[in-house]
Amino acid sequence: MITTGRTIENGDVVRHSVCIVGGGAAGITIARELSGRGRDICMLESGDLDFDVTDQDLYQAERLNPIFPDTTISRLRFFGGSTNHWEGACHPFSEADFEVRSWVPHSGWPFSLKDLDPYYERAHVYCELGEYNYDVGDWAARTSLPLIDFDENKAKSKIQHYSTPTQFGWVYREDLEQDPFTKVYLDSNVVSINVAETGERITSVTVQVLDGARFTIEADLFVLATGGIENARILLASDAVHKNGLGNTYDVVGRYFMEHPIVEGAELYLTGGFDPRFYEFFFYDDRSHLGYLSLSEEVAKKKQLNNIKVALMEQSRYYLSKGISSFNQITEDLKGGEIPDNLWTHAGNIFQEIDMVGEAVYRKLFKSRLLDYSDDMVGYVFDTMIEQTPDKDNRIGLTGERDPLGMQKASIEWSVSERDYENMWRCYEVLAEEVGRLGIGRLQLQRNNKRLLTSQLSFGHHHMGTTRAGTNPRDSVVDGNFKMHDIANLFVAGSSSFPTGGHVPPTLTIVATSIRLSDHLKTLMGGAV
Amino acid sequence: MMSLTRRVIAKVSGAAAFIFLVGQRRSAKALGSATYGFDHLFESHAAANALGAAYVKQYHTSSEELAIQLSDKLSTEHEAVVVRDGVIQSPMPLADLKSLFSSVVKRDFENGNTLNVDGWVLSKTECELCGLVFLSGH
Repeated sequence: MITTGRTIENGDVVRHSVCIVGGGAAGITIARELSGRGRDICMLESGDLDFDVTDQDLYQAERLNPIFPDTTISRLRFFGGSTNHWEGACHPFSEADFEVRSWVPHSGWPFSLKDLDPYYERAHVYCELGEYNYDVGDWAARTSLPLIDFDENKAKSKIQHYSTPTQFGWVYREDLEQDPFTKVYLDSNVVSINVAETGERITSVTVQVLDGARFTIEADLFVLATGGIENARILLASDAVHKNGLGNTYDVVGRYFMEHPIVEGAELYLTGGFDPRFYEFFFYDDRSHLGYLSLSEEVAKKKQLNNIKVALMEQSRYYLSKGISSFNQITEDLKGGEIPDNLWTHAGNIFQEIDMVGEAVYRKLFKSRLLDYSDDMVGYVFDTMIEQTPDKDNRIGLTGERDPLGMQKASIEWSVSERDYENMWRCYEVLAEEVGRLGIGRLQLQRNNKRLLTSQLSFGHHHMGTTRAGTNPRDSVVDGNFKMHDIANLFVAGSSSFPTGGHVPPTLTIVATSIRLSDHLKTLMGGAV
Repeated sequence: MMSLTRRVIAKVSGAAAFIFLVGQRRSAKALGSATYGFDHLFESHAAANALGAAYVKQYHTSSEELAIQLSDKLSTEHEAVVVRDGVIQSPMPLADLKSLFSSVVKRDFENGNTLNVDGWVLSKTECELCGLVFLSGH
């Protein structure tokens, strides 16, 4: 059933067998998996069934790097969580993502792709994705869409499937409403996880209703599933017994925070024949799919590169105009009181493409198009998701400022290392050699576009790594079962427990690891998995 | 000076590099070979010149060095190809020469024999030829 924390009196203590904190993709998956086993489950959701700006504002955080996206926009705080606005793109992590890679500090998961593979298949059902099949050769054959004939030792075509996208709060709401063993409390914010005096077992969580009661939920097992920032924030704020925060003996909670920066870092211009249809959105079996480019695991290993995911975005003469880009760069630099670097090159670009610069001015002034040919498609932008190397200095912390619940707000320290950007340029070089070899075209790397890594940087809005899994408590927070080290009954679900973030969207892996965790919880609850 | 925009690259390497070879001269009969001037080697002389200028500026090379490099490279493919005095001499028909250049460019990409010129990842051979176009104008 679905109820609200507003029905509970101040100071009440409520008991359940399992308490899941968070009603997003991970929390709902676990609740569904544990349902029907004769144990009463509760799920605590901060928000309501629909968006409410007051609840949403609880995501306010201090962003120490202003280019990091506003968390009150990137996340959603109501039932279903951020699946209420996700894009739906799904692809499992690759085998290498789980391995220790000598060139990626802090890499290596405590389990392998082979261990997770059966759960990916089950995750496909939750995400309404259809057949679990990422064999591009098979997809090319069944759709008759040609693949780029890459040297398999260098580059690969891959395919990602699109969920409808499944809004977990809507799709699984009726099931949870009808479930006699599961109770969803809306409007219920966990402000503290309470540990026994011995420090080894969680006894309860303290729940605060916004402008309402404060009550306690006791349980045997607890699962924290509130996202990559909030998971860390709640653990750090739970400092009654463990003064550095729960599970934070070695100062790991909140650290190694990762995003998926998205950079339009290269442009492909065609000089030969190329059938792009596999690399554009296509429909098959009533679902959307998209082919993309990646490095082969062989070349990534040989050249010691983090992999990338490149979607080809066909673009017009106007969009790709170097004249307009130079014009904007000069304008931005002058506004900032700087003389632009490479001024004469910029001037040359503007001169050569004065028609496009004129088009830009016309569009700004009159909100319409001047030159028909400005919208001719002439090339592709490499829309690139990069894997961020785990970095201890990227971290979620607490500020001194408190939110309306009385909790300290989160602070976010985040940046991308030079090494990670250099990695991206090197990946592009491999792809450039392949498109050149195949006579498809030539690639231009946009290294000189300073705005690319600042004002034009995009994000996957994927928050990962802050309660990373591992075998050593000195550099990880949870173990291979996502159980917190040294705490017997607290588990942390979702991408916060990913040791590395891969180069594809994480939702499918969040759901797969949540199912895996659920199977483990079932064994602890007794009975068959 | 023209900078290396998409329009320039398209005219230099469009439809695979070097298929725009023109300006065939038949004056070198004594050598038993045809002479192909690369002052009109590409679809657009201005485009090749711009790429060549950027390449020379970035990699500080001379006409003599480029001629030697190209001669060496092409001679490994076909012993009679010689680059000197601003022309390419070869007994091969034009079509075969085009094919030879295309295969050299392809092999450049295969072997990672590429250069980054103003952000463009280009075959070293196409850069060298454009460099010669630029330097021969001086």
